[in-house]
Amino acid sequence: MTIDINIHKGGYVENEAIISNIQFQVNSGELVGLIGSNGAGKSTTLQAMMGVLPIVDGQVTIGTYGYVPERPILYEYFTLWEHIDFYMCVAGKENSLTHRANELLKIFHLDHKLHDYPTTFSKGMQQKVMLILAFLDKHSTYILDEPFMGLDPQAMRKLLTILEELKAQGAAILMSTHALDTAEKICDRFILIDDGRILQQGTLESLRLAVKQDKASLLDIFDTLLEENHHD
Amino acid sequence: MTNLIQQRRKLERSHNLKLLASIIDWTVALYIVVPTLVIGFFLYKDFILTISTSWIVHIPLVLLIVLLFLITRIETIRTYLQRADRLFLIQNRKQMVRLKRSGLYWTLSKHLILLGSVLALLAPIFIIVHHVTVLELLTLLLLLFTTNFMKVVLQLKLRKWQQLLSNIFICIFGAACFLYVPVIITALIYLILLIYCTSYYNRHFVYSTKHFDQQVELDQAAFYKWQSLLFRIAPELQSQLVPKLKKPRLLWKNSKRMFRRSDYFIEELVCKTMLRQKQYRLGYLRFLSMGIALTIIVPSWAKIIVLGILYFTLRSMMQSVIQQILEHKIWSIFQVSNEQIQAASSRLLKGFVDLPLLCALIILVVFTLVK
Repeated sequence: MTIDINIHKGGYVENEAIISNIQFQVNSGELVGLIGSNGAGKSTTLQAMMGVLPIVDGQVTIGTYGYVPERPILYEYFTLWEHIDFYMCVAGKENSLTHRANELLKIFHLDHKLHDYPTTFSKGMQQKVMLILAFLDKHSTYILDEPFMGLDPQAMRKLLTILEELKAQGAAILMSTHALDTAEKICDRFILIDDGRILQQGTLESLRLAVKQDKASLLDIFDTLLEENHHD
Repeated sequence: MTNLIQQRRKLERSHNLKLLASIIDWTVALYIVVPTLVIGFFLYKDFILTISTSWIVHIPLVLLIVLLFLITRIETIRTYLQRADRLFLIQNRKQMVRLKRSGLYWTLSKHLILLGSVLALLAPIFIIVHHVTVLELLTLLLLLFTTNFMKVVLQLKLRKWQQLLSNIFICIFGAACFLYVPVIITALIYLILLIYCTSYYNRHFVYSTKHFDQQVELDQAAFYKWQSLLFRIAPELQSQLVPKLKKPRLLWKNSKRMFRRSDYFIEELVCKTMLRQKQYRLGYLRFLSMGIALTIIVPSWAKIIVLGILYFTLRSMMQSVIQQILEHKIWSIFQVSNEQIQAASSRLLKGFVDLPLLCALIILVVFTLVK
C-alpha cells in the first residue's frame, strides 16, 4: 500500500472542520479518482495528504510524490528550463533526469519555449509545465489535482498514456477531477466526496450496486448519491 | 465643490494614516524620527560651518544646476478623479472642471513649497560657495518650478522616448538660461512659459474629458503612492509582480546558470530574481549607492554611524526579500529542507550585504589614510 489516509477532522481554522472522516487507501499500480462538486473538499483532502493543511487530526502515510496542483504554480522570474533545472538540482539528480526532461518537453511540445517565462504561457501550456515537473522524477505516488484542466486533446491523450505507463510501473496515483467521462474510463476505483465527507468509494461496479443502477455512468451514480445525501 | 475635493483629500489622508498606523506605532516613530532629526540637524550644521573647506566646493555650479533640473519633478498633477466619476460627475461639467482645477492648484502649491524648502536648504552652497544672489536663487526656483510643470504636462501627451528627449532638452535649456542669460530675461521667459503651460493644461486636461481614463489612472497611482512605496520597502506585503517580458533579456538569458555548483540552487533563484525583478534590483542598488555616497560626504564622526545604519538596513531589506521569495507557492512543488534554506540565506546575506560593505569600508579606510 502506498497511500493510507485516515483523517478524523481537517480544516484551516480550529473547530471548523472542512473535511471529516476521510479514510481510504491507494495501492501500488492503482489509479484512484477523487470525485466531488466544487467546494466538496477534494483539494483540502489533497492538502491534508501533503501536510500543508493547517489543522489535521488523523494519520497520513505517503511516500515521496509527484504533484500537479489545482492551478499552475510557477516562479515569475524563472524560465521554463530554469524550473526544470531547479527541480533537478533540488532532487540532486541533475544528470540522470536531463534525458527524461527533454523527452517530456518533446511529448508536450514545449521544447521550443525553453528560455521563455512560463508565466507568459497560455493556461494549457502552464498546465503542461506542471505535468512535466510532476513526471520528471520517478515516484511511488502521484497526486494530481485536476490534471486535465486546460489541456488540448493531444496533450490529454499523452497524459493518459503517461498515467498508464506509471500504473504499469507500480505507481499509486490519486487524481482529483471533474472530467467524469475520462475518469470513468481510466480509474480503477473512485472516492466520491461531498461536504467534506466520503459518500461512497469503490470500483464502478460496486458503486452501481450501491445505487442499484446496473448501467449507470459515474455521473449518474454521483448525482444519485448527492441527491440522497442532500435528502438526508 | 470645495467640499468634494476636501472630502476626497480627507479620504486619502485617512487611508494613508491607517496605513501608517498599521505598520508602526508611536514608539517606533519616536525611535526613528527623533534620532533622524537630531543627527540630521547636527550633520547639516556641521556641513554649513565647514562649507568653504568641504568637498562641495569642487562641484561646479553647472553640475549642481543640471542635477537639480534632472532630479526634481512633479509626479502627477492631481485631479482627485475616481473611476465612478465616469458615471455621474462626468455629466456635470462645471463641477468636474472645478474639481480638476482645484487639483491642479493644490499640486502646484505643494510643489512650490517643496522646491522652495529644498532650495532654502541648499542656499548656503549657492550663496557662500558660488556667490549666487537671492534674486538669482528666486529665478532658479521659478525655472525649476516651470520646468517641472512643463515636464509633467508633456508626460501626458508624449510617448516614453519623446518624453526622454524633451526632458533632456528642457533641462539643458533651463540650465543654459540660468547660467548665461540675464536674470530678468530668464524670469520673463519662464513666467510666459508658466502662463502658457497653465492655460494649455486647462484647455486640454481641465475643460476636456478626452483624457479621463488616463487622468483617473494617474490619480489612482498617486492615491496609492505610499502604499506602493511601503510594498517596495516591505515586499512581503504584496505578491510578486509578473514580469512583462516574455523571456529574460539581460545577462544569463537562455537559462544559463549563475553558479556552477548545483547545490547552490536557492542562491541561483534569489540572485536571478534580484536581477530580473526591477523593484528588488533598484531598491538594493539605491540603498547601497545612497548609503555609500552618504558615508563619503558626512564628517568622520558620522561615517561609522552611517555605515552601521546601512549595514542593518541593507541586511533587513535582503532578509525581507529572501523571506518573500521563500514564501512563494513554488515551494509546494520543490521540497527543500530548512538546513538548505538557512545555509543559502546566510551565504546570500554575506554576498549581498557583508561583502559590499566590507569593500566600502576598506576603500574608505584607504582613502582616509591616503588623505
